[in-house]
Amino acid sequence: MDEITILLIILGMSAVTLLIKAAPLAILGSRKLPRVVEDGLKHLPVAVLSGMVVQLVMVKNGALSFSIDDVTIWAALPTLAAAALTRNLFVTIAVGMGFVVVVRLIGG
Amino acid sequence: MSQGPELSQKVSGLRDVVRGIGVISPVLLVYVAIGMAYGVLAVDNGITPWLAVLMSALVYAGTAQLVGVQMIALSLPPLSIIVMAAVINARFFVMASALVPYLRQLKWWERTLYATQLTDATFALHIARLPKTDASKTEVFTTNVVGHLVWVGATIAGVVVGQTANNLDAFAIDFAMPAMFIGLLVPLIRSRSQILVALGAAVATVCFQAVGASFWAILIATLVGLLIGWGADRWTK
Repeated sequence: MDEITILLIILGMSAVTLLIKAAPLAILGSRKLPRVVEDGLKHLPVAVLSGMVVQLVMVKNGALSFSIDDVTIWAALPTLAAAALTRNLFVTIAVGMGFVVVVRLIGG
Repeated sequence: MSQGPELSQKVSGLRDVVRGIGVISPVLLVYVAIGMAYGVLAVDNGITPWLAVLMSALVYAGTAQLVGVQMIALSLPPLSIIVMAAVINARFFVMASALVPYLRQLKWWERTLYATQLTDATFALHIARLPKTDASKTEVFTTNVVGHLVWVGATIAGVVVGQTANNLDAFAIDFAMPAMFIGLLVPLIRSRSQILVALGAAVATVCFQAVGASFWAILIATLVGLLIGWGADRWTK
């Protein structure tokens, strides 16, 4: 692909992405939302992030993966424990990535 | 809420900048790791360095960028790559909607600026923080700008080292994103019904992923989670 095509693809990607990100904030903006919607939105962060965690941990190359040899699946357990105990983002990331590094060092 | 607003009047601009950096700081580690990995992958796939960096500056969405450069390398139709970006980033529509009640006081152009720098991480950080504290505009935008700058900076670093170093897996970079998302998710869970929401959305994601819904799985699973939460709230009341 030539540079101009790639540039146009990048501009297209950023345009659709911005449209998606900005639309709710621009349309709904300063309006007050109906009670039902605000009640529904209350659980949205947990729902969407939980789905993403599962996808990040268990989906490899676009397919579900349950491989026992895959350290990045096991690593979710100590990471979850660290998050539940400390509720600290930095500690959680350090424990998770540290676990993977250590297991890989031991496993060769 | 009694003395919140007065408190925020007193803090200086610099204090709010420091606070904004503090909020984003744990995430920066992950941004550096993934941003560099993206930069390396982009040049490995034959993308010109300046275009790889431009994509980080304009698109600013990790997964879409990682998939995008691989699709470009395969010379897939440009329109299909743009549609892919829309599908992968559809979740941001949901996230931005959830932030609406807390960004109401911003002007329309400030909300648009906020949207350009909305990421999974800034969403999770702000949805945890904004309902509880009266964070200032300075703090909120510092968090966003610093995240964006570090993401672009990490891409530049990745593009530079791209040709020399190519084994970044040793640093557990493939677990950086999962670890960050677990760390962002867990503190948001504060009630029994939210535990049910998390478990429900997780199981639904596995199910819909198994039947091949891929990126749509997240959106359908989110809906399932919302319904569970709605039901659980009524059951426990």
